[in-house]
Amino acid sequence: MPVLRILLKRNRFWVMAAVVAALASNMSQIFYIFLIGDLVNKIEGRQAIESSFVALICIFMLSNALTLYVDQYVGRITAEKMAHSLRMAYARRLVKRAAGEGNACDAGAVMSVAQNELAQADAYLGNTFFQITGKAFSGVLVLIFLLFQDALLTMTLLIPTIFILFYVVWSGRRLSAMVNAAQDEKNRMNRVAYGTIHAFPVIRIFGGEDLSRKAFDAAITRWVRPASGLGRRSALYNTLSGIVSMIPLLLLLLAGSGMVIEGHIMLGTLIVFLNLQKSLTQFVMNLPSWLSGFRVFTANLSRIEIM
Amino acid sequence: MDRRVSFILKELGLWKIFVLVMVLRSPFDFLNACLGANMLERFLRIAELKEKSDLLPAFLTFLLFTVLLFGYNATIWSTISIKADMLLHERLRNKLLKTMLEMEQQEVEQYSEGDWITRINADVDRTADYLTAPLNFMHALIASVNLLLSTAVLAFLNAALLAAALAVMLPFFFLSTVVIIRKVPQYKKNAQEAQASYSDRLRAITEAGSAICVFDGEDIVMKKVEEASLRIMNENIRAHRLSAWSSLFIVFSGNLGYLLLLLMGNSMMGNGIRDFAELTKITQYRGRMMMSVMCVNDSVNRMKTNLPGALRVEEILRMSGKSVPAGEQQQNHAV
Amino acid sequence: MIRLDNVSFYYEKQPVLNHVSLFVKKGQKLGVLGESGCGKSTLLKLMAGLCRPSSGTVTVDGESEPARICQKVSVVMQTPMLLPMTIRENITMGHEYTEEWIRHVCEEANLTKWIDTLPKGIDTYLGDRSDELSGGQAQRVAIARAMCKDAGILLLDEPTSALDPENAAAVLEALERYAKNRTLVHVTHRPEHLKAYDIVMNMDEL
Repeated sequence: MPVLRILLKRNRFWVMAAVVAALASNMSQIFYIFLIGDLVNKIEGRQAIESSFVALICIFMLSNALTLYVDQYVGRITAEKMAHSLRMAYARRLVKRAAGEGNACDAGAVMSVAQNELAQADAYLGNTFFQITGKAFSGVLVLIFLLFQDALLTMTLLIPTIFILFYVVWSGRRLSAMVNAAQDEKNRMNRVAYGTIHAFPVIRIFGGEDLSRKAFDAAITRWVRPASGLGRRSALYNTLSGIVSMIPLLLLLLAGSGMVIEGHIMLGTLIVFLNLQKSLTQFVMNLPSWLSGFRVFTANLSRIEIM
Repeated sequence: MDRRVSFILKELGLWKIFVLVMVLRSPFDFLNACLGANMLERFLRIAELKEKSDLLPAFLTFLLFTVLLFGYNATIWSTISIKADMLLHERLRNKLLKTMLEMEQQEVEQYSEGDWITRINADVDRTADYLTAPLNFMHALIASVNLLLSTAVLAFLNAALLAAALAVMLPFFFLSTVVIIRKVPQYKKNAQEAQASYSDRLRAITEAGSAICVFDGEDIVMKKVEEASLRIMNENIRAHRLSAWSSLFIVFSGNLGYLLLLLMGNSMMGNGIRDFAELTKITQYRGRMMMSVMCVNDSVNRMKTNLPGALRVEEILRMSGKSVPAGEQQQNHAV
Repeated sequence: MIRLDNVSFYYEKQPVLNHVSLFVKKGQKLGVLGESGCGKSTLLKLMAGLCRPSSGTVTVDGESEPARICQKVSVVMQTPMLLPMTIRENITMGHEYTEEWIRHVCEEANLTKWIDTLPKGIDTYLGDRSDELSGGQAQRVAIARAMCKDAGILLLDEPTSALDPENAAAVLEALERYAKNRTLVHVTHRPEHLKAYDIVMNMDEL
């Protein structure tokens, strides 16, 4: 975390700009959908739709697209600036060590950090960091907005989603053990393949083709077992995930339609919920994978010596 | 599917099972689209007609359909798709190793050991990814089927609204995915090259540490590193700018299409469109249609990145190794 | 018997061997000297049937087809080239041999003492233990493999280059003892290893 704090501090202007852009983009999206809800109410009530109202929607539609562009562009520039700061700080530290202590750096270790931790941190910053913070930002803003629209309906959406979150964590853990087992067997299979390739002349001279083929075949068979098991389990968990992720929507439709019938909310409000529900549910459901990705990122950062 | 990939399937005797998987998996997206669109239509109609007693039966019916649909997908997936996928891995790896073992040393030496292991491992994975991984051939097929059938359903429901949806979607889609995104791979490639140059400069620091120390070369070294790092940043920013433009057009086209359908639908209410519930169903099919177009586009792009791996596999499969009579060893002490 | 008639070998259009002819009678010992890159390993590969000459012919025990030549010879390379399998499989390469013969070759290759210390003995899997295997032990397994085949011709490509002097001496002694009544071709850059050889060919002078 100290490295991340340093990177954020060194690029504070861009970080602030990215936060403002994300805020503007999300607000404009929410307001656009709010207007769509209003439009639906007018359609449902068979009211006249004034051209000024349509123009207002068009303005927000345009601003939604433009602020999204600014949000994405500024967010990514910020991420790239931070990645640049990280690369420079790492190089500066190496030069200082080299200048201060002579040829004291271990080239292997430096290249390993450059090709693994630094490259992965770079990729995470460039592709994921601001995308995820943007989605988290959007999730929180949508939650606040929906709570203001109708707290009960928001809870109808949120509570099952939290249960799904637990399911996602549980199934992810179950699968990760199987992934590791399949990966171990795959590594073993690759070792046999590599051994065969490496020892090819010896195999040819000593007539070991059959032995190699059988050994590779056995290694593949050993890998296929956990890999098929993993595939089947993934299929099962994904099916359950597909089913349970429909439940918040079904409950929203059940409760929302009931509330429309009772006159607690307008149909437009239900449409607003339907349009925004994914921002909220996906934010909650993806939280575990985002957090684990973020943990890998901070672990990578902590291994990059910049101070 | 690329004909060279289909050659691999035929060579491995897996063509039929893959056709079966394709046929069985292809309706999933469309059925899911139908489920989603009809579910919204049903609930909104109940709300519009204030038929509260129909809510619970509708909830249970669509829950059942969801279970059936995903259950079908899981059954096909876990029994046939995984079987086909595993058979592909098994047969392809075996075949590649067998082909190599039948080659002469000189033929084997055409490629380095690293190259061979890449072909037997990573390239087989790329081939399997091309065929079965998410957002590759299988998804392209499923999304294409959905695109065709959703378009047909839209044409049946309301041809004018379909025409409006297509008129808004197609130009922006073309602009976004064909014109704008086209240059992104080049910028990504440039960034990768700059990354290699940055790594080289780090290596130089570690290897010439004493020279930097003796000749006070800190500034010049850091300047070189900065050049490389800035190049990585600038190339990536160029790629991000294009992606941001692409997102702008996609979101704008999505919103514009939705708004247009709502406004046009409103004017057709009672005259071609029954009620708001039916209009919602139409917007749902349009949404799914748009998602399918994006899915096909993304899948085709991913297939392009996986294809070189598959072609390297195909290259080996096409090599006709001379069979070596193995096992005819001098075995004076053999059992 | 090994015969090379006017053999040339080109690698990527560059000549590695140019019009080489030689004849090694059954039971003779040929030493091949030369610095790195002079083509001595290529010469050995040709004799082992691992590559086809660009021109000329290589005949080993009456066979000139590389695949058939492979069956006539036994080889110990610079690196042991062990497979991620058991010691037994690495020695027998999947062929059936009597237990006595396997024990004998292990004895000849000075492997028995080490094998006896292993919990699974000769059936110990080498794939996961390659880090624990010393260079000397690995090369001895390669020698046992060469002996196990019991071919009439033994080809050695600097079999001791990666070993310390003590191990190198033991390995060479085992190999020369084994090759007593066989045709032996030994490629090396160290002339002191070729003292008792019938013919010594210096590739640098070709």
